[in-house]
Amino acid sequence: MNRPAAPADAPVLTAERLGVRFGRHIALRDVSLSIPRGRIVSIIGPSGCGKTTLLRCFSRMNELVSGARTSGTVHFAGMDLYGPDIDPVEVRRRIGMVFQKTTPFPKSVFDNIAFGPRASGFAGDLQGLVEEALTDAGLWSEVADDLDTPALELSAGQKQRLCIARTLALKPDVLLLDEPTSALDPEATARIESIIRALSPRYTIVIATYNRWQAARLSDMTAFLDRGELLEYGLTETLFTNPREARTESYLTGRTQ
Amino acid sequence: MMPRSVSGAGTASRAAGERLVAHVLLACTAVAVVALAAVLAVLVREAGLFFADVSPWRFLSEITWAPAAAEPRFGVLPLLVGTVQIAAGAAVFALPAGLMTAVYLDQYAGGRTARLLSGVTALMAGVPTVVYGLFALHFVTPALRVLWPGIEAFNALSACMVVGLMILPTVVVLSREALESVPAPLLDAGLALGAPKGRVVTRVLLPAASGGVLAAVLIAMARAVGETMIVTLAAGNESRLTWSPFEGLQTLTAFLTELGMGDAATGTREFQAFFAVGAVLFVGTYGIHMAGRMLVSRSVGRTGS
Amino acid sequence: MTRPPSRRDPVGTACRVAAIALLVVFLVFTAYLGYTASQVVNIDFLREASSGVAVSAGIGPALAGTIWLLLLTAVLALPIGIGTAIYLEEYAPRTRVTAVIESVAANLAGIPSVIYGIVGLALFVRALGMGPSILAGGCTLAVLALPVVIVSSRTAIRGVPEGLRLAAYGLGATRWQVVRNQILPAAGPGILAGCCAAFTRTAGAAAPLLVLGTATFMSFAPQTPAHPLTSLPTQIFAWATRSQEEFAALAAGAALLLLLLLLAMNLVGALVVRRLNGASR
Repeated sequence: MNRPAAPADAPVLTAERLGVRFGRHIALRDVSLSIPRGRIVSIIGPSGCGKTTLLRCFSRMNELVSGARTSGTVHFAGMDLYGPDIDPVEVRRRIGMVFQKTTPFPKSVFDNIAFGPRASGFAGDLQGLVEEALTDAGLWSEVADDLDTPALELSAGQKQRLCIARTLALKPDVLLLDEPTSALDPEATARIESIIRALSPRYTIVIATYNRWQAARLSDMTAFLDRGELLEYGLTETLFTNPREARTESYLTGRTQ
Repeated sequence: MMPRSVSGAGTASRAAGERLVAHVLLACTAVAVVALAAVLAVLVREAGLFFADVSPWRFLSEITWAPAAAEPRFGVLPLLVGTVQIAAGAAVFALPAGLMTAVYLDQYAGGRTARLLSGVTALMAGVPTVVYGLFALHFVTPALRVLWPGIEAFNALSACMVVGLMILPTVVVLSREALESVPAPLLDAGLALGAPKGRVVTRVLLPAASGGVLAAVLIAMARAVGETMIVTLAAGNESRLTWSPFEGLQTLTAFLTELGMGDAATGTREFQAFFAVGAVLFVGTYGIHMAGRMLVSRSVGRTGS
Repeated sequence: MTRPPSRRDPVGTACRVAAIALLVVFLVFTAYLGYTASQVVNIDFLREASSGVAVSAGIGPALAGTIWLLLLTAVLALPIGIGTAIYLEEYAPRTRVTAVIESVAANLAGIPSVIYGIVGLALFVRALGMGPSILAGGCTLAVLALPVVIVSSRTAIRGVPEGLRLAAYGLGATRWQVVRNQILPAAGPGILAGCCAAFTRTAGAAAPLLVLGTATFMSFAPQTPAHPLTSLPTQIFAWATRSQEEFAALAAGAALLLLLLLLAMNLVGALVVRRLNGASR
């Protein structure tokens, strides 16, 4: 499963000494890592370790929370994402994020997918774009007949794929998935995982997951976060079979949660 | 900027539109803040001018209120006593009845009865107070005079009863919300122990909801203190220091309506007296209301966690 | 479905009696109003102007005044109030200043309306030279309605699930796109319900208008906001203070009309809320 990921792969995202605090609470401390282009990277760790916060750093979502402060830098394709003339809205169009809680808009399937492109003033073939996004997310065959179906009437698994499709319609460079399967049954989870694999060469994908086996199944590289600090980051195979840190090992073997 | 983008043309114009909207919304906020601040400013300024002239001690200790007299007297006590009397009287009529109705709605009423009662309560809440004032003066007072022929045409009793009617919906709706926030398992536990329902209501339900019920009482009291039209119509508008419910009286609010009927010129002490009374009323109702709201948010926070 | 409280449950019996008493009082109230009003209500009553002569009195001008006042409130208080709520919830950073504004607005919604009247008299009628006009009344009622609109709109906006907001931002929507496409449709019913409450408070307000100084005898309907102030509630008050029976009947007729107006307004509001709720599902 694990394609050999040469560390020499050109990094798409590079975080350096990244720190985030919400008021007094320090959520992320001194994290440095780079995400290679076209790979799947998992971020694992016990709940509250800062997985979600790290993902949100990449699409500048944390600043929507009042009292959040970010320090350090994130470079995206050579640019400082937190630079003074960077528009966070543009960042979020290039680096798409799917959230842990599936939240379809209370609109039709079509309008859900078209929301992002419309927001960015897309002027081309919207129908085609929607079909493409739904196809990539493995949902097209199930909803093609009636794109006017209210999105809230879909099943839980379909809703999550809709949320992925919604993000794909922006044609982002990077796809951030926050716990994409935490609310799903095993069957729906398997579906999502195979979709993620299929997207993998075309998109750089970063997944935050509490499920270490999902990380092992899916990703080329894995990062282990604990209490806001990056303890270990490397090829998934290496990390799982031969972890450097004792904390990583005890987490992977399930001795701590 | 970014090297590649799915966005079409017009990013710059959209950013300009975005800024425009933000400015318009900020302007709305500024206007609202200025308008509300102006209310406070006018009140503080005129009341300040009044108290620079009439000492707060005289204001609170004298027992005659006659601001328009040739030799004006500025003792606010009769108005305060009148206000307290109306609010207390209204509480006597509204609080027990309102609370019991809320308990009935929450614990005893079936679906249809509950809907009917809540509908009636909502209708009553929407009746303008001047209409209640009409009812007080032209129905309740004549009815009272049949019972007690000695009662004055303008009397506090009629005003108390109808102000009670006016705040009844507030008491019912807010106490019912408080009762509904009590978790059902708590009551079931009581019933399962074999306690009769009435006992569970008084020993478990009401104590558990006491914070919210107290908040309901405070907010209803703020309304009673601030009630103007019923009192003006039913209790007359003559300030005197009396505790008798069969006589007329004047409240803080009722006095304020005289500003529209008289011709107190801006800058006179008589004019400023209205704002001094307004400030007293403001501080009183603002305080009661704030205490009520704090209790609501506290009791909601507690049951929510 | 409902068990009648047993004889051994005195608490239940007492509560039931209180509820019945409430219903009875309400029935007496409506019966009084309906019976008294029935003595005067006819078509001429609506058309003719109010006058000192009871028989030929009507409430056309007062009704027109109230409609003017509602329009002014709608134009002044709704956009500013809703705009303020949006700004405070979606644009402004959470600071002590915004917390103070919120708390003050919420408590101002609870102070007696007559206080707005004395301030309106000092400010609009005298300082700004509007005189006791419909315009001054509209401005005063707009200030009265403003806290209600702000507080209820903020509550409605705050009730929108955080996930919708995040998802929209995550898809690269700008702030205003998030507000227009997600927040306002989701919060719409709540905002509208708050506006209805504000309108009910405005349309029924007698005390503040009384303080501004109202014309209670008006022979023709107001054509512009510069016209002297008149309204249904103040007309009811003026008639109610007369001791003759005929005037009490006139007051009851006007009161019934005002109640029907409020009821119609709230029914329309409730229908629109229901439609909005249905559409967003």
